[in-house]
Amino acid sequence: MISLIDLSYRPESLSYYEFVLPISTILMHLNISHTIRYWREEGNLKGTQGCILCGTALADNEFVSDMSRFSWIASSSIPILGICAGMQVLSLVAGGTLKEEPIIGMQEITSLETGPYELMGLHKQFSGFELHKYITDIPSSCTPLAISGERVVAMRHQTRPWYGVMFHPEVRNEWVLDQFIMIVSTNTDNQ
Amino acid sequence: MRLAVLLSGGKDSIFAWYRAMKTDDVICCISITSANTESYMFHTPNIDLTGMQAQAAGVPCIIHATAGNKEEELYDLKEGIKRAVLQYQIQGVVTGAILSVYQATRIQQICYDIGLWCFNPLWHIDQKSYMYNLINLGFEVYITGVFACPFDEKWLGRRIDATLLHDLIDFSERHHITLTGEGGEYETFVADAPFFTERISIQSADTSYHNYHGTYLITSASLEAKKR
Repeated sequence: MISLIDLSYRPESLSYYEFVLPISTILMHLNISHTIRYWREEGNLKGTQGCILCGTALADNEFVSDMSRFSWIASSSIPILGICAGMQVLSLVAGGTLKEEPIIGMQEITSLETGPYELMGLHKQFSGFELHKYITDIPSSCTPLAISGERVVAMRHQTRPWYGVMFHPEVRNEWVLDQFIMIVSTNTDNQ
Repeated sequence: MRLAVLLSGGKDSIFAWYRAMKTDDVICCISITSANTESYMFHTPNIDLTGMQAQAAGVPCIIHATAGNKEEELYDLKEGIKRAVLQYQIQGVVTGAILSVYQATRIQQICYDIGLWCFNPLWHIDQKSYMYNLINLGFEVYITGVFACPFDEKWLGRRIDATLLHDLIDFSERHHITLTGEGGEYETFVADAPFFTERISIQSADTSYHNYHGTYLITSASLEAKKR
C-alpha cells in the first residue's frame, strides 16, 4: 500500500487533478494499491509501505506555512518520495532551506547514480519537467542524486529512505516512479 | 477562486471548464483567435463560435485577436489574460492541456509573470476514461478537423459517441493516434455540455478534405432551448 499526500492549498482543489490524480493513475496501471490523503488531515500510516508527497501549482506554497503537519515524517521508517513541493518538504524536515528561483518547463538533467536498483540509476541524461517557484539548498544530511546545471534536482537522505525530485516524474519520466516502487517493495523496515 | 477558462471551442477546454466549475468560480472565458492556420498555440476550426459557447453557459467571453506569429501570439495571449484581470478581477487561468508541455510551459510562464494561478485539470488524464466520461456525461462533441492518416473525410462532422470512440481506440492502437487528439490528429467542437443552459444547433457547414487533412467549418449555427 502506498500513501499519496496531496500538498495543495486546500482539500479537493482543482490542483488535485493536475498533481495527485496523474500519480494515482500511474499506480493504478501498475496495480499498486494506494490511498490519498490531504496533508493537513490527521493520518495513519499503519499498513503503508511507502509514501509519495505530490507536487503543487506554481503559485501554491501554502504547505510551508504549517510544517508541524509533517512531524510524522521524522518518526516514519518507510520510503518517502517527495515530488517538487514534496522534495521541498523533505528538505525542510531534514534541515534544508528554500530560496526563490522559479523554473518552468523541460530541463536537461544528469543523473549521478548508475545502479539499476537506484532511484535515478536507469538514465544518465534525460529531460525533466520542472514547475516551481522555489528551489532547495540540500541539507548536509542529504546526498545529491541528479543535477541540472548547478542545481540539485534529486536527492536522498543519507540515513533515512527519503527521496526527493524537483522535476515531475509523471511527465515523461514514469520510470522514476517504477524505481521508487521497486525501492518500496525491497524495503525490509516497513511501518 | 475567480477563474478564466482559455476557450478553444474544443472538448478539452470545455471539459476543463466543467471541472473548474465544480471547485471554483468560472467568471469568464478568454478566446484567442489566430489568423495563422499553422499556429501551435491557438488555431482551431470554428474558433469564431467560442462566443456562442460562452453565451450558452451564461458567461462573458473576451475574444482577443492575434496575427499568430510565433512569439507575438504569446504576447497577445498575455494581453488577453490581462484584459480578463482588469475586467473581471480573475485570480487564475484554466487550460485544457493534456500532454502538451509546449503549451503548458508557455501559459504557466505567462501566469507567473502576471501573478496568476494556472490550472490544468486534464493534465495527464487517463485518456480512455476521459473519452468515455465525455460521452456518458452528455457532452455533444463533433469532429471538426482531421490532420493525420488514416482519417478519411467521413470523420468530419461525426459526433463523438460510443461507435466513434470504438473506431478511435482502434486507430490509437494501430496507427499511434493520440486518443484525445492531443497530438493535433483531430480537432473538435462542443455544441452542448451539461452546464450549458442552451445548446448550439448547427445548421450548415462547409467540408473540405485532401490527403488525410480536412476541416468541417460551421457556417451557420444558433442557440436553441435544450430538450428536457
